[in-house]
Amino acid sequence: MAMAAIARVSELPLCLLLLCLLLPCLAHARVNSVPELENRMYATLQGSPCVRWLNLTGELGCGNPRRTLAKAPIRTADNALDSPAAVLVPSEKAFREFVDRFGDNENVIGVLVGNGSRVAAGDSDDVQFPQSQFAPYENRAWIWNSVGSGLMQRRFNFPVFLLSPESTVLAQKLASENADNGFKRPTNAVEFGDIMQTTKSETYTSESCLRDLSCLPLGGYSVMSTFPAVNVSAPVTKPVVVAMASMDAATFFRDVAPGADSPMSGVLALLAAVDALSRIDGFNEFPKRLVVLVFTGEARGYLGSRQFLAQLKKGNFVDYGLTTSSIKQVVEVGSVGQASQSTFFAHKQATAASASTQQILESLRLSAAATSSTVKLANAANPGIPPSSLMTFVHNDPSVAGVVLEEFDTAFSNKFYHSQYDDKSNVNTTAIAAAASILARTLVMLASDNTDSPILKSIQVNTSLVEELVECFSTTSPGMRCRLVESLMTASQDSVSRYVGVFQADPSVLPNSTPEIISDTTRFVWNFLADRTSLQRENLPANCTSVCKNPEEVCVGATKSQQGQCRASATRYVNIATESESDLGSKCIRLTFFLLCYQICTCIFSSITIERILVGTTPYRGWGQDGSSGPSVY
Amino acid sequence: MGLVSGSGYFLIALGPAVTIFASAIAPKPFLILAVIASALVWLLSLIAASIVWRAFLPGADWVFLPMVVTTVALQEVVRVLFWRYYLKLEKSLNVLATKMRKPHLNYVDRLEIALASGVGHGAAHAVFFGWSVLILASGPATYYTDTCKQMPYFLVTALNTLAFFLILTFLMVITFNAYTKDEHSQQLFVPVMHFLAALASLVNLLPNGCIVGVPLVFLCAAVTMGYCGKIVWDSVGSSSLDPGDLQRRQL
Repeated sequence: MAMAAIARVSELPLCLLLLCLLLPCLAHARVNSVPELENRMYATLQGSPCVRWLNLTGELGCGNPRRTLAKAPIRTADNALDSPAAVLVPSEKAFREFVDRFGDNENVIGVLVGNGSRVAAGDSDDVQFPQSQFAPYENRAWIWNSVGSGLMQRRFNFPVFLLSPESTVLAQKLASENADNGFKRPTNAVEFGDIMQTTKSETYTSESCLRDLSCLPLGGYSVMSTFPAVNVSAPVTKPVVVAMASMDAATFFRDVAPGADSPMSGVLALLAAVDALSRIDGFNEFPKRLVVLVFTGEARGYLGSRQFLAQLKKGNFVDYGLTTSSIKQVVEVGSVGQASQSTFFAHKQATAASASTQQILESLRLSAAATSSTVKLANAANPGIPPSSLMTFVHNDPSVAGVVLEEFDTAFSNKFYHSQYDDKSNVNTTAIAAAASILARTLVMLASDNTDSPILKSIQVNTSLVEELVECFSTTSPGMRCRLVESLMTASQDSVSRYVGVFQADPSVLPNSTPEIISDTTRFVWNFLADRTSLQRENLPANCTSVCKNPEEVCVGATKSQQGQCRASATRYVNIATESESDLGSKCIRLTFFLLCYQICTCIFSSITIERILVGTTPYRGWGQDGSSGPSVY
Repeated sequence: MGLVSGSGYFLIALGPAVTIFASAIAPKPFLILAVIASALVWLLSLIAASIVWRAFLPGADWVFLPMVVTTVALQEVVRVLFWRYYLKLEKSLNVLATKMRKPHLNYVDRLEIALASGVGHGAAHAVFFGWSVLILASGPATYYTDTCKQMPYFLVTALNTLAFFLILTFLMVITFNAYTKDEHSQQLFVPVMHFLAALASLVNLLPNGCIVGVPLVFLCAAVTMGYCGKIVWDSVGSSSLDPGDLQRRQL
């Protein structure tokens, strides 16, 4: 019998399309029941959406401007667009070509992007200088990302979905049926499930949509840990060496952001280094302390690092022994998964000329030499540091002794930066392990102020751990289900994306007691760091499910099948949104409680805005937007 | 769009039913009861037939032939039993009427009850065969079968439902008249027409059969309605329309 079908939209994590087929296609068996008839009429296309984003200046991403669901017959892009249609394009590259030609055509009701193979030459959704408005130097025209298409920063007035491989095949079949039929009724049509726009009209910027409570702000938790574990009741104020990385990525399709090389390779190297350091003694005697920071929200306006510095200035980390003046040196691990022949590059600002910076560079060089790798200083022709969390620290203090360790010199070597193709095949375990070795030794040299310490010989990075981590982090659907992860926590999301997420709860809510609001990646990093940095106690640790009685202890490794242990570790979550003192902030918080289906709209606004609205204190100079809205308030 | 087409199909299938109900049946509460009771009886008969035949489905196409034949046969047997039960019921009603010093049921009353019973039969058929399918018509999509590319499946269902509603309603009227007047040709007409209509609907299974099948079923409906009209006109219409005259028409 013939078939007409409609696809049903399903919930997150996979945003499904509603594929509405107003027409028949040839099937063979007789329909035997009404549910079977219904199945023949409707088919579901699985896809990941491009969502609507809002920032200070306006809208980005994709949305449906109508009040009703977008619905149109499906056709392939090579047919002429003479009537409203849902267009099927074979790949993201084809999508870019399509929108360049037909982006303004009012007959484009929606676009389905097929699961095409990657372009060998490279494919990046971001611009050629990602987040250039945060650069602490003048040359915003430097090309860090040579294959950058800027797709992420464009605005489309129709929904766009990335289809899974099976759905791509189905969609092609339906489109060819329509073509064979000459596009006469009845036709196969697609109905796009979500109305991707703010829930109130006329809210086109982040400020207005937050004020009108028609969107959700971005939010999440960074993770902070320290070696040795801090005694919270008697904090020690030693000078601090910060080792940091970022763990979120962003692509054109919100849910398909594997971010394997950029930035997860850095996180994995940092975790492997912490693991190696957890097996050595002597941190207590070192003149400096080590603080490990893993930020989230960096891909969307450096939310994590900026919020961290804001809280640091407010004195939120005094009990952690951290003040603005205690940070002496900063080492950031960027993308290190593609380093060829274990050669890395150390990037620094020209303004960072102190002896502390030299110490970092020297330690890196020596560490590399000891582990048969190489660390070179980045090309002097570079305008400064590449897009990284260190930019925030430089803005805070231009003379900060900070270095970013990357796999590239003058431009990204990652051909799939911020792309759906930045997956496991894009990283090399050897490179990550090499970076971890270098990092571990460098951190010991910096903390001990001694490049020749006997402890250095006993630093051993566990390569099988690195392999396991890469394996764990690269499977995205279902994600975070490997043995290593399951020994520390139970993943709650079906499909893992490095998307930072939205503001889930009041900042006063303790994240430790409500793990369900924290993304799987963040939770794993927290558990891993807590496990590795915890003090060994003489007596047996108490069992726990989420919180420990002793305020100095945290509950590590609580899974569905086993209880966790209370360990003395100073690992904590750092909210990338802040406690608000302003009215608007509290409205924002109320917002999340009775909002408004998350699927309906997600709103991003640059952290410049989030701070203007939520913190609203000291003016912050120098980070003006593109002139259109004047200097932003910090 | 879905709601529009869903309502449209509903009106096609049951518009005349609603009209007949509103004009002829609703003013007399007893007839409403008759509709409900009749619908229940006929639904049970259909359910009984379907329980038996469920074991043989899904099966080959030719299974539909014995299925349709046996189901119609069962319904015709039930129809005879229905008539016999109605006689008993009428006797009790007349006893009650005597007690209340009201007139007994006359011929016109009997025809009206026949119409109500027929509406009940048609409604049961519509619910059983059309409702669950037409529910889907209110969604955004439609459906065309391999064998019928000319009309949506829902349209065919709605038209069939309409035709069968008319057939079954007026066959019941003919039945009551046939058994009242003991006219053998009319008594034979009823099951034969029912069979013919049911078999005509099987034509839809053939490729492009719906072009022939649906008009055939409507032809049956037209014939039934014509025949019924002629019978009732001959019996009742030829006399003057003086209500007193009608009332005095004893059975």
